[in-house]
Amino acid sequence: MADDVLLEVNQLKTYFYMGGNVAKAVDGVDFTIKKGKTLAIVGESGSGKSMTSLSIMQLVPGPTGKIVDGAVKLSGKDLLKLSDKQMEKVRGNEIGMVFQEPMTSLNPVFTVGTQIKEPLMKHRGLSKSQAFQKGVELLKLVGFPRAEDTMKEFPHQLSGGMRQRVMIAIAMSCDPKLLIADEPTTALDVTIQAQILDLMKKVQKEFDSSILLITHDLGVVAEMADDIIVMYGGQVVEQATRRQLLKTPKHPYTVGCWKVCLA
Amino acid sequence: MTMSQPVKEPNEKKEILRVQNLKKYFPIKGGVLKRTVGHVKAVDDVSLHIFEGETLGIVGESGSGKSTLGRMMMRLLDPTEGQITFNGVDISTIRQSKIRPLRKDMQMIFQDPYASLNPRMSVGEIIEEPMLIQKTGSSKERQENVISLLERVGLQQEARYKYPHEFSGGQRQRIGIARALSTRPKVIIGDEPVSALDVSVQSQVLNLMEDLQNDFQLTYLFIAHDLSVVKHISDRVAVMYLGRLAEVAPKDDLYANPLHPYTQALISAVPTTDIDEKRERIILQGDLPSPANPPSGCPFHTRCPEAHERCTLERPEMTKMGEEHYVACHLYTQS
Repeated sequence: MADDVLLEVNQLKTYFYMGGNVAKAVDGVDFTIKKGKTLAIVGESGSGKSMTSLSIMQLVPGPTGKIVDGAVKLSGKDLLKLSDKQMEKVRGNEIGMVFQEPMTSLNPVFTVGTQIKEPLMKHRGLSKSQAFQKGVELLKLVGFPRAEDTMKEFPHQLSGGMRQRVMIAIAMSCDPKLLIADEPTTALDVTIQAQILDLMKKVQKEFDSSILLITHDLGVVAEMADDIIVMYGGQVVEQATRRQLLKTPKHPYTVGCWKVCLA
Repeated sequence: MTMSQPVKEPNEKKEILRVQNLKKYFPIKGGVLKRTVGHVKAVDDVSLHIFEGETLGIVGESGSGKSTLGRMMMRLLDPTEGQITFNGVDISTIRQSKIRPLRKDMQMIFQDPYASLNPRMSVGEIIEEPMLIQKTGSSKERQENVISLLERVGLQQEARYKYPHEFSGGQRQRIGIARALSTRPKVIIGDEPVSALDVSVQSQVLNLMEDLQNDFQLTYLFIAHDLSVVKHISDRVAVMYLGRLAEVAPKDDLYANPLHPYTQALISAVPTTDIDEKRERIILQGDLPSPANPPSGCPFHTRCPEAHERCTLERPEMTKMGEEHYVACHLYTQS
């Protein structure tokens, strides 16, 4: 494995068993993410892009869903071979995640502060007050001017864009090597989307992390990604650098997709 | 698109719908006695007109009041102040009993294709219901109409025996469109009709809406938060910010020459797929202020990169800047 590769996914297969049927949500997906780079997975709903990311984190909804085959190597270590306990240490620590829905991905009954302190205390072993300090720092980094007050606020007191910024702060709290962002801006307005994308770029530079960006918005892809894979029906239909894929798409599905989006 | 569409004569434009100084304030109740302690100014002094046969797009961020405006035009909400004129008749204060016949001419397509169809009615019943309410045709005529509408929106006629859950989001939106068309309306108000759909399905539905506009001579009021969707379908575009209009202009004019700083920021915020294009991106700071406590003067001054002192004090009025191009900004008015 080359030195600059952070994540390597080999022949990943995630199937759903429903009754007698097997739904092949992810059907033999391969890709690699280089250190400090952004890989975007593009596809329509149902193409398996979110399931790919959930498989990496081993958060596939069970018992119907199962990772049946493949390897997910983070810095050479196969995550699929880890025990649940060991995997807990990876989630939120080595891999951070930002979900699409900023309304539901924060716990409504805990303050922002509690939720941002949790991974810091759990993974980094910080004391309460140290975690508070670090939390304030993180919130300032993602653009909360009154971070101390925000720590005491509940998610419902924040707007969608602010919640997504809190999610990014939490995801970045333990300096993860990889940030998985599943449609991070889909639920947001365009002006807020621009803010969040800008912030993600800034955070990536600051922490020198890699990003796995999942989206159906080609504009976002063109803005953020270094490499792109296009998924359709659980399989990768095209894989290329940003320039190649945007300028000279090869697969008919990609060509069709581009036409639709650029119309 | 059919080629035989009548060419629109610019001189013969007839206004079909007009709103004048329209306001909608929602009261905020507070305290033990539930007294009104303030108002959310969802729509604040909006004047607009829509010409027959055109598509007017309304764009704005969430909370800008665009849906409230659309719902008031349908009289699903009663305006607090101002006039709505449909075909020369003031409909802003007419009684509820008079509204129903009016809905024959104005129909709505809703955003959520999952919530806007009754899951316990078959598709045939859903499409027939508006005709039943409007008492049009005999039972047989209505059934024939349902079949022709289903085929027109690209579904098979057997679909009328099925239920909404058997269809995908795009197909459901087609059913919603067929329902809206069943009374042969003149105006259709689409409240984000494609924003819940995948991009490839979005374009199918948009193309269908364009074809139907030609076939049925429809006028569209198209509400969206997505500039690219609006660009595709509209003739004119109105940009809303915090309950007020920022800019109204013909589509090409607006995209080529946006005047209001908010419109400029909106257009520049859309990520582009052209990676060679070098451009200065305007990133607005902060969020949309609360409509319960809007900023003084120009509502946009708190986030505006070009704000000066006058903007904080004085509310800008709509100024004509060109053929059908209006903007509400102090940069273009002499004090």
